[in-house]
Amino acid sequence: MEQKQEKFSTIGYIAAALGMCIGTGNVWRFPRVCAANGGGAFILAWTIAMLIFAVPLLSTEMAIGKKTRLGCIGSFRNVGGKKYTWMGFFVAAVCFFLMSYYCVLQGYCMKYAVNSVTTFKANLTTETTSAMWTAFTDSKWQVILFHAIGFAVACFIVYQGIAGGIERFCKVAIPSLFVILVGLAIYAVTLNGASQGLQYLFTIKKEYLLSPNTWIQAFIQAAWSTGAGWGFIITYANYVGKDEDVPTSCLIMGLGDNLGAILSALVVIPAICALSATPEAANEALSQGNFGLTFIYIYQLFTTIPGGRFISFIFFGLLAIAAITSLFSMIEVGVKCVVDLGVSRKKAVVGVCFAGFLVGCFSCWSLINIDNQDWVWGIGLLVSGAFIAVLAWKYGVEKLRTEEVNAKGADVHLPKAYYTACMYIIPVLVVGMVGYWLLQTKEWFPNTWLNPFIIQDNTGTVLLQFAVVIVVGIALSKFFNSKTAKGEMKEDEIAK
Amino acid sequence: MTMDAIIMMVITIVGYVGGFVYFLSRVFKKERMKAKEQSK
Repeated sequence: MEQKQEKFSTIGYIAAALGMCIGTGNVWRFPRVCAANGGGAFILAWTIAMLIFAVPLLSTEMAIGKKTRLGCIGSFRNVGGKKYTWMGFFVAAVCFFLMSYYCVLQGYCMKYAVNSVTTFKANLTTETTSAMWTAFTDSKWQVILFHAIGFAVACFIVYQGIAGGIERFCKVAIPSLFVILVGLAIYAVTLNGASQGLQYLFTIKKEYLLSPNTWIQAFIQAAWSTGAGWGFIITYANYVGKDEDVPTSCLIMGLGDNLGAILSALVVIPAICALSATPEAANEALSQGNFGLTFIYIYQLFTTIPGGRFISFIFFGLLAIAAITSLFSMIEVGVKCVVDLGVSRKKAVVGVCFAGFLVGCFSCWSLINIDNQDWVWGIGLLVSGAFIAVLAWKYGVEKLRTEEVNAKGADVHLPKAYYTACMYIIPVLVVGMVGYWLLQTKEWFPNTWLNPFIIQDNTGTVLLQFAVVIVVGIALSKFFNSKTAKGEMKEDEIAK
Repeated sequence: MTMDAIIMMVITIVGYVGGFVYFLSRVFKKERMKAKEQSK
């Protein structure tokens, strides 16, 4: 049963796509990774990564989604052929698992926004904030409660529809997000001692610029932060007008995402340098993982400054907004695949959110579980990006560029040499990035790196979970090939 | 802050803000024109 599709307005689409791009990764991952990889050198490498990896991949996704008017599974079937359906299933499944644990992260941010109002105390030590963090994550019912609230809010908004729910929310949330970030950045860079952080952030150190590790980290950040190659934009592009400008929209997404990350770095790094008692303490804070930096160190810093309660509430509220706008796109990927099977949109939203909530409870159970899911599906997202590049090869890179990317309505045209080179470089980059991560586990866990039966950030667990998804995808291919709607591609254009 | 760091900071911020605002303003301009045409 074909259903009438809602549409985004142009501005609404850009707001929703920016909401998808700008997530917690910009706020807590980018400043930390940037500081650890040479500041200015990293910014340079990451800007190049945005142009080589993110923009072409986002353009490919948007062109495919606009062409097929189907979710990931249907798009892979129509553009690649029936033998490629499992790849579409893999992309959708990765988004589903990502969604299930991402909502737990959103719950953490909401909890800390609430804490800032209710139980905020001045002048806490890192030992106290660390104990508070442990007490919260050990209290499973609390984590599950905030996870449930997160899904309920996201479900409610996505349930309202594309224009009435996602677009309406993002049109308010995204400009607010930028205003709050700019306000916090101005505050942070005017603190005494903030110039040390700015110096750290913007100095180009040659040794970092020439280090392969800086470049690998820059491409990984570009891939994870923009959401390029994850299937989100295939899905969102279903709801745009026929004359929507693909290259301009994708350049706005890439630039907007990076701008959000730079603003976050302007908040976090100068603030940590200014508020830490010693340079060593600042380094210690920045060397913590995402959770440690955000929920232990930054929270502790807020307790030591005047007006800290208010600033803490704004900061964690901002994180929660950034997370929920990304969550919409993750939910929508699953919803569109289910809707393509003929299920009504409202039933699909409730079903996908409920299933995501149940699977997410695994990640609520302990930090080890959520870490494992973050590790496995973070790598899965890179693989999804390679699958989308493969899909572009199958369709014909030049045909896709001339007929779909630089189509009617495009003000900016992506040049042939640039687009073609990027489409062939991307899978090579993905193999490099995935290989880099998986081989690192040999150093981290020399004895267990290939053991899939322990919950650990190792290679074995990645291979096992990927294998399960791929086998299920192949097994269900026939079902999806026959049951998924036809979409809007002409019969003679659909790959056999 | 050293001069090198200040230059890098200015280039980064101006580049990103400028690029983002430039492309966004093109979209707004196009939308306004579209709305005008539709109202005629």
